Amino acid sequence: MDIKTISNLAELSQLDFNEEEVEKLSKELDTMVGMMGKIKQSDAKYECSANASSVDLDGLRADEAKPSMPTDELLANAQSADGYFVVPKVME
Amino acid sequence: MDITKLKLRQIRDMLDNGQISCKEIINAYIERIDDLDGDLPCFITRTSEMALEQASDADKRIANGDAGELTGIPLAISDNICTKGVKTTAGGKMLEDFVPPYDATIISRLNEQGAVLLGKTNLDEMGMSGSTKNSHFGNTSNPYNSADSTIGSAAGVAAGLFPAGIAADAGGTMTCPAANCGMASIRPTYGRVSRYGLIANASSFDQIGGIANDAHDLAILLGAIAGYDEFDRTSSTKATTDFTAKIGDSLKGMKIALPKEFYGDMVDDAVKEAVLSAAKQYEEMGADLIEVSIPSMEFAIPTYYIIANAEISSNLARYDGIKFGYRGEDIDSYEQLVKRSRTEAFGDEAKRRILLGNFVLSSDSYKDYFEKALAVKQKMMSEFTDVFASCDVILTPTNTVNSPVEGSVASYNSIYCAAPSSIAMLPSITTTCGYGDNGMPIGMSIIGRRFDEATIIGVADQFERGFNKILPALLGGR
Repeated sequence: MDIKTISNLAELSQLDFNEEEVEKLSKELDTMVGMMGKIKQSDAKYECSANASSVDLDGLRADEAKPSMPTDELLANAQSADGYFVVPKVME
Repeated sequence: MDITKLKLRQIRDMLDNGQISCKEIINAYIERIDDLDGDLPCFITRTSEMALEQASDADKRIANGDAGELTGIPLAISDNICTKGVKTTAGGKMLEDFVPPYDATIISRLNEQGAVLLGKTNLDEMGMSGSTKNSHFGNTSNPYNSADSTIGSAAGVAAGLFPAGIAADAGGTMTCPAANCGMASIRPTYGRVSRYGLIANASSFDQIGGIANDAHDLAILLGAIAGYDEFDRTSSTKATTDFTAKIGDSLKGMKIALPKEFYGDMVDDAVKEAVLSAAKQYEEMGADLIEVSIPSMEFAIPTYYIIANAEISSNLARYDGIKFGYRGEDIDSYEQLVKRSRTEAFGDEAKRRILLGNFVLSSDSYKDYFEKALAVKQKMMSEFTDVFASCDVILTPTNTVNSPVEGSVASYNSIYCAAPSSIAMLPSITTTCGYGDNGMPIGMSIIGRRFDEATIIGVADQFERGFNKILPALLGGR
């Protein structure tokens, strides 16, 4: 896998890699993409309508409002202030 | 009292007969964990104080005649299942300090039953693999061979640190290490157990199951956690059954299928011989063996990894350093916060999987990889359905080899036998059927029809009754 492709994927993935890491990844991902590429030899055809039967999806719950989790509990694992998540400044 | 060889149902009998109190049982397990866990180790977080409080409550319930199947039974839970107020790391730096504000549905069910939680067990980051080589908290050793690393819930049952553990499986991430540790493990049908509160890995494969000493204990465990949950859209409304219902049933006339693809070059001879010897024993019990074929097995490994990596890349997109999880420091912008938090916290394997997932989902690759993998999945499901038209269960090896697997790609290949039933969303139980020359346990898997866990539990139990287990060196075995 070439450096440019890895850089694009890293951007999509919101990950940073240095040059040394990209070089190492290039070899590792080549091997893995080679392994996954075997799938192209299959003659199977995907049928969109066939997928629904694989999972029981008859358990829709009633459309009723229920109590939510308290705000302080939701914020307990985050940096927060005044009942809100804290994020870096995004507007000038 | 030697607690190390006790099965879950033996503890139940002892508690119900008043032979021992729950507090005494829990103290004995805590002492054993104190002695042995340092060398393995199985736990990321121990909850001994909470366990003793739960034990007191359980003793009261038992005295009041209000005990359920799991009241007072000590268990360990894999650390990717949310426990309110108890740290849940999913084996990674990303969630190293995460304390869930809610319980997973299966934890609520265990709490209602009065089960006792001894702690949270080690696993690979987000459940990627079944070796703990990708755990931020180090490797867990297999009690049969310290050079082999395994997951905490499998090693812990094998070492007698707890009689049963709850964990999640994707494509063999629970059943394969359980087999390597000489334990029984069940991955139920997709939809049988709620995954609400399970930290997502690959959502179309993830399924919560258990590890125990034998199939009968697994039936009890499954009975306690199975059933529809309005919080999990994929959980089935199908009524749960008595999973012990077929234990003790005769196997006369039962049709056991051996798909030839599971007995080819991809699998070590020692493993094949042990599983085929088990098949022979089933034949002697009155079962009919039939050879069948699942041609799509040829593509099982790429199918699993393409779909799994695509789902992992989507599931892991939620970790942005803001709502929960690791947050990078000295940040100037939103973009930098997200990137730095993810880059500093995710391990190498998670990063590889995210990149590969985004690769197979990208517009250039989607049709060739992701859509093709979905097509093979459909085809494989159809082939399994065809096979089940002429048999009751399918018998296969659990692992391809009988020794520790080294290297990333080699470890990818090791799921060849375990992934297909997961791809096809079928229930599978593994139990030990032999030992290699190296002393390592060899596991076999029995795959059943969708929602027919009771049959595979019954079939596994029949074999276990006549099988002599060799204990790990840690428990005085060879």
